[in-house]
Amino acid sequence: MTKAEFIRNLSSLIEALPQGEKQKAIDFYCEIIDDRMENGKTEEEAVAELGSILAISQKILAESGQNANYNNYYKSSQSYAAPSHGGWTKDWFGGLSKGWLIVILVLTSPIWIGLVAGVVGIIIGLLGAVLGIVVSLFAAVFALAVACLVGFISSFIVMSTNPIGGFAQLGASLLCGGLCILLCIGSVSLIKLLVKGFRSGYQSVKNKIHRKGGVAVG
Amino acid sequence: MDTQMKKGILEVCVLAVLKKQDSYGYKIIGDISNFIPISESTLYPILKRLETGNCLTTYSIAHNGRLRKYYKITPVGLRRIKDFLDDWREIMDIYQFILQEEKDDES
Repeated sequence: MTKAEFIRNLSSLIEALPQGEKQKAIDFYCEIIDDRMENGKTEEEAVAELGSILAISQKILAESGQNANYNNYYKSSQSYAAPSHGGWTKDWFGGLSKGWLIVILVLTSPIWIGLVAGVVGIIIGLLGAVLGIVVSLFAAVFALAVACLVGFISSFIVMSTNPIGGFAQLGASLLCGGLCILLCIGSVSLIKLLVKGFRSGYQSVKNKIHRKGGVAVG
Repeated sequence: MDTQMKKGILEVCVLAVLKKQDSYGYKIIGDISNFIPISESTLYPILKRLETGNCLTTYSIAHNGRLRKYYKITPVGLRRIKDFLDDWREIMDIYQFILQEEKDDES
């Protein structure tokens, strides 16, 4: 088969394609044939080495059928090759042009701005609640310490007039002191735990942002 | 091998070749064939898909009185290679895990 015959046969087999796509495919195979001939093959050999025209045309047609589902193909192949989370979103966005991405972001802003604000609100609320717990713990420790000190001193004054009441007060103030020390130990370890939790949370968020930026996939 | 998987791998092979230097159809086939057999009819859809996915751009240069189409890798294409390598590191870990489970089963 000559090159001209090959082109004629191929173009009739991929007739259904839009003109631009058809021409692209034919140009590609023409170039291969020319390059083969430049490397010492005869025209006959160069065409024969391409294999069956039917198989070639079927692959071209199959591909342009898939093209409509390009993003779907990407999604499935990506999640197949990479079980990492967020694997396909990256390529899906990669497939969109930046301009479109901006348009979509602007159009959907009423939705995502609300969502982002909500999430930020929840985070601030949580931080506030945690801060509240810490402050109230300190307040309790302080109150117990004051009660212990005042109760302890005044119990001696009460004792001079009412020995039984004085002893009761002394006992109560010592109890306060004990509770104060216990609470102190408890709150210190709680704060340590909170700091640790925040640190690991911050780290994981940082890693996620890192990944989304396409700098690394773990 | 699963055809979809092989397609994905060949795409990255083409990108790896283009990372070294811009190239054209006949040369790409020659470079890849040293490792994996690939035919023109396989390469064409791959190049088309990579172009649609913004992984490469094309330009033409006159050569012996005709035009030769060159393919050039884009930043998106470079990222594709990096993602592929990262993904496979992960897959190799999973492979090791599965292999170990198989061995444990036998003993």
